[in-house]
Amino acid sequence: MAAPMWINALEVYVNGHQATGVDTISKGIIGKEIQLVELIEKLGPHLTSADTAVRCRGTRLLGEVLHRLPKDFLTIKEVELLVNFFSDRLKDHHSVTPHVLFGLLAMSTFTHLPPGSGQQMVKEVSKEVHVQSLAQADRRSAYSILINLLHTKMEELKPMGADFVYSFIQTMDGERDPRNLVLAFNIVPVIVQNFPIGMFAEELFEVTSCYFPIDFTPPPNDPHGVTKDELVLGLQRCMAATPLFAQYCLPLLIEKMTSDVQSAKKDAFHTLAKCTETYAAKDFQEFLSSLFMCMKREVLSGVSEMVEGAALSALTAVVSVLSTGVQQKNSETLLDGFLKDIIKDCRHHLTQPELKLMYPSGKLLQAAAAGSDQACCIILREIIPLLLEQFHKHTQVLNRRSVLDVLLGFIKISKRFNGSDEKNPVAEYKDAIMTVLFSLLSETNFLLRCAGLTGIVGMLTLTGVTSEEEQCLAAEHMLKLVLEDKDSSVRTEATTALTFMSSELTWIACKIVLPKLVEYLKTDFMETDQSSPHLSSGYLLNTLAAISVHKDIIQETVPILYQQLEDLTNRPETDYSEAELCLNCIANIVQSSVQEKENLDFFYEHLLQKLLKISLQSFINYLSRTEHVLWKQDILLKLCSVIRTICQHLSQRQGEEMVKNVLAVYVEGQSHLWLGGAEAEGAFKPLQASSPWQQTQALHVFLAVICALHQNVLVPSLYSLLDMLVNLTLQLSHSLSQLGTVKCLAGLINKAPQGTELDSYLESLKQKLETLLNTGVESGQHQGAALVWQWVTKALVLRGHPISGKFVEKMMTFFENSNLNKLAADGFYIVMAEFDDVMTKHMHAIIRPLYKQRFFHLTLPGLIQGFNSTIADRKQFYLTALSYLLRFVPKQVLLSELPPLVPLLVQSLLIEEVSLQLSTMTTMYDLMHDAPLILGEYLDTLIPKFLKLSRYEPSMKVRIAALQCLGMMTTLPQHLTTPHQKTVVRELAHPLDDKKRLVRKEAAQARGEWYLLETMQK
Amino acid sequence: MPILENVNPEIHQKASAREITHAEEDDDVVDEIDGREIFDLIRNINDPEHPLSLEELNVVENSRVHVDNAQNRVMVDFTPTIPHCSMATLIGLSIRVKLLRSLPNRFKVDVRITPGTHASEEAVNKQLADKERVAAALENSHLLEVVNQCLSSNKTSSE
Repeated sequence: MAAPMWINALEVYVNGHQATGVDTISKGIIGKEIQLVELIEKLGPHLTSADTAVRCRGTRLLGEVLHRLPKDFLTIKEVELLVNFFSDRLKDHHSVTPHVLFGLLAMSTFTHLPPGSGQQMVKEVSKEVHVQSLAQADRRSAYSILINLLHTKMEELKPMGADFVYSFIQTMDGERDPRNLVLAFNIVPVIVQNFPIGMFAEELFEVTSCYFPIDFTPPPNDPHGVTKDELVLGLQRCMAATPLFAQYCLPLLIEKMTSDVQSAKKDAFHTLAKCTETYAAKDFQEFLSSLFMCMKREVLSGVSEMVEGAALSALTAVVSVLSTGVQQKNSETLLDGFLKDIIKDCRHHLTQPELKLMYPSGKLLQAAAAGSDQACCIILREIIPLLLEQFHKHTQVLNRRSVLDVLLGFIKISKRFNGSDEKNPVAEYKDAIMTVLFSLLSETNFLLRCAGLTGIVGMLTLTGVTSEEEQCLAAEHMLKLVLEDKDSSVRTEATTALTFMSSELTWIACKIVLPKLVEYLKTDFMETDQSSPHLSSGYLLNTLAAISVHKDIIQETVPILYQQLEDLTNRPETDYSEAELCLNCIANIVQSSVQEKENLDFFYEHLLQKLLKISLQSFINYLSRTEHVLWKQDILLKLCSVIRTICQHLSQRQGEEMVKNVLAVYVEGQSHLWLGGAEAEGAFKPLQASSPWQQTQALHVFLAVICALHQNVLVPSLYSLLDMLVNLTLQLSHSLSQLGTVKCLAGLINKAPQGTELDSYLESLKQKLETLLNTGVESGQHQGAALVWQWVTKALVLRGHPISGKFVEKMMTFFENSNLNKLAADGFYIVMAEFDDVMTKHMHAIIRPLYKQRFFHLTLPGLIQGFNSTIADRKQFYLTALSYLLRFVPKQVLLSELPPLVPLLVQSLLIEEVSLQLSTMTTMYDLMHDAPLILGEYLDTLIPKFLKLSRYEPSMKVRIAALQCLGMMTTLPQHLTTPHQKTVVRELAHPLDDKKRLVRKEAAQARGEWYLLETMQK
Repeated sequence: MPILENVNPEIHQKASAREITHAEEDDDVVDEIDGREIFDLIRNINDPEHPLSLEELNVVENSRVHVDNAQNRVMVDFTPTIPHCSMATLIGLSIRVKLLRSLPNRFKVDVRITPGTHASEEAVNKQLADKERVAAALENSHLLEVVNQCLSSNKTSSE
């Protein structure tokens, strides 16, 4: 039954030019409904037709069908037949050739290739086809056939030897298409590895290296996805494929290194480095001095950092390859000779530390030393004594500093030294170097003291170089500078050095540093001498925090810091700054070390409970105090951040214990659980609106614990707790407490287990709130209801709950509600912004991927429509909401939706509302970078607005933002900006005389860039 | 690459960025233009020969910039790296143009060579002080391009 249908399809394909039918036929063959023989029989007349076009179509059809068959579908016999057939067809008219190649390409992919067929295909193609006269896609077929056969039939092709190489050279000679070049570049290394290229080495090199350096910019929206890098790296692999290329490759590279094109130089150096992976030392011999000249020129001139970096890496690579042959007699002199030349060339620059070439010469030597252990020894033995001598010879600070910087560079390089049989060459000069470095610490110039510290740390990082006594001595010196130095930059450097000590040589820090710091901390700083005014307990606490990088030290320092905090809370007078500092120190330590299990357990057992206790004490004892450090917002929130950081790392068991604990104290009022026998003035009822604000704001602590725990830690009687939180939010008037409460509510809803219980709770909450939103104006609860609504919306949007759509929908109606419209935009901020104290990834919130994008698409049409249809007074609420959307939505999403939004952004600039203007300008500034063409269309409107805002009297921030936007505009396409150049330059003369310095700075910057437009034009 | 006159010049420490004070962030306080502000305008001008700034080469120094707000005058002295530096005029011109573009036009700006640091000090000073000659120089598109090169902020302009 199927037969007539597919034969019909066949006829249509061959005669018409429709590509249909192929699938019918190939499916038929795969389903065994059609025999391959039948197909060929029916195709026969077409394949032998006198009309070339018909032969083309017939051959094509056969190829198309073969491409669609499973790779093991055909038997060896069938494959052999078809290969013979196609090979024979290569002799046909040239217009048939592409289709034959297409068929052969299909054949090359079959698994049952008979012996000899691989060779046959390659031979016939190279005999009958002139590949380079074919079109791009057909040339591609030819390369692909080769790639397939090289992959599967290598053993068969190898005997072809030089013939294969020659035919490949002919195939790719003159290739112009980047897509095909990528393929050809992949073939060359395979040929080099498997065929004798000797006879054709130069030709093979020529035919590939003629593309060097690659100069290719993919067309915009390139559908083929060939990148410049792909070509560059492919060509690099070809040129570096075999040492046989060395004699042709190195002169070519040297030639390119001397060109004027920076990217050509860079590519040449990169390729050189690549070549060192395969070329041998002797291959470089005759080119060494020229290569070094090229590297030197780039490094000493320092024109382009990119080229300089490439040159230095190439130097390292070359030295490294010269060193590999050191066992052989001849090569030893090669390395020695090369290094000797480098040293000779660079040496005298090192004796002129006041001049510019000192640093680059140092870099060259360091790059060479990095090449191998031998090179490191040879160079350092020569240079370190020289630098030490220079140090003593020069007395000027800057010169000495330069010498030290370069010396330090060499010390750093020697870190790579891994000599198994030899000692680090620095060790030979260790005493001299350490003496110099230690002596620097008492220099009067601070730069030298800093250099000394950096140097000592550098020496300590070398394994097996410094002795234990020296390490201890270093620690003492560092500590002395931390405590006594008058210059703050030295003290900072010394603190960094101590931090290094604590992490690498912990026992020394524990033995020497810690006791001394603690002892200092006990002294009363009111009476200390005036010579070290920086020495305060705050400074010492910061130092303690800085060295807390190892568990042994943390377990010592954190209790000290905590004790300090507790002492502060007990004092009758309040010292906010000291308490804040103390908490900051604790927060930093916890933040950076809590990931380690040992530290976490320590914090859980010895810090968390204590922090909860002192905070509870401060909340409960509100009667006898008028103020308390922990009542202050910043400090309370900092404390919460420490608690949160610990809680979010707790295990399930620890988390469950915490929940039980915190519910007992906060909900059930069992404060004695934490306080023990400590005094309490009354009951602790943070969940009652009638409680004093000191207690209700404790909800932030509650939030930090209960919303930071793992999702699998369940909260018992969750829904009655949620009810309490809703009611509390509605009743509270203290805004900090209210915010903590509503965040807590949202955080819990976000993580509540999925199911009908949650769904029905949300439904009833929705109804309750809707009633309040409509009627709550009299009771004053409508604003609280709106706040709950917005936060719950965030919680639901984030987890992608089905009901979230209804919540968002309702939120959109706030704009047109005269009691709520001022709050309407806030909801957009709440949903889009990320808050670090609730519903973050670290707090294990349920966050659906791309929720911002979804919310953006969901609300944008409504906002635009609302803006267009509303009365003038309300437009700004929509614009503010829009500005929040734009600020937080991912860039790619924004760009695709941008064009219709730009007019709205322009409108936003006109509204006299500083925050809206600022956020709009921030958005526009970014857009000029991301979507230059779209913004470019509005320059006629935008420029006058920005110019006007650059003189906006009430706010310097607006003036600055406007000027920055104007400056950024110069990056837009020239043909758009140039017509405005005169106006802008003239108008920007005014803000140059602004009363604020920061505005003048931006004005000068922007005006300068507009002046420069003309040069950039070239 | 053209041949450099002074291949291996001395390099100097750069000043740190000016710290922003509370007064500067207060909308109501008036900040007077001071020497440091003007120094900040010119210190990052590129040297015509080296990939270094005028500050790094000590060609301009904070202490050699003077402002008189009442008289609307600005005086800048610059020090060529070598006494025979043929780039002195070009450097002076770059400083002048930069200040012309960046300062309110109420100021009269004098750009001169630090006394005793250049062989043809007087001639160069005369050239720089002559308004017509400066204007004429800037009409020359090649010269303007070189000056703009010095004033451009991207350092890889040679690419």
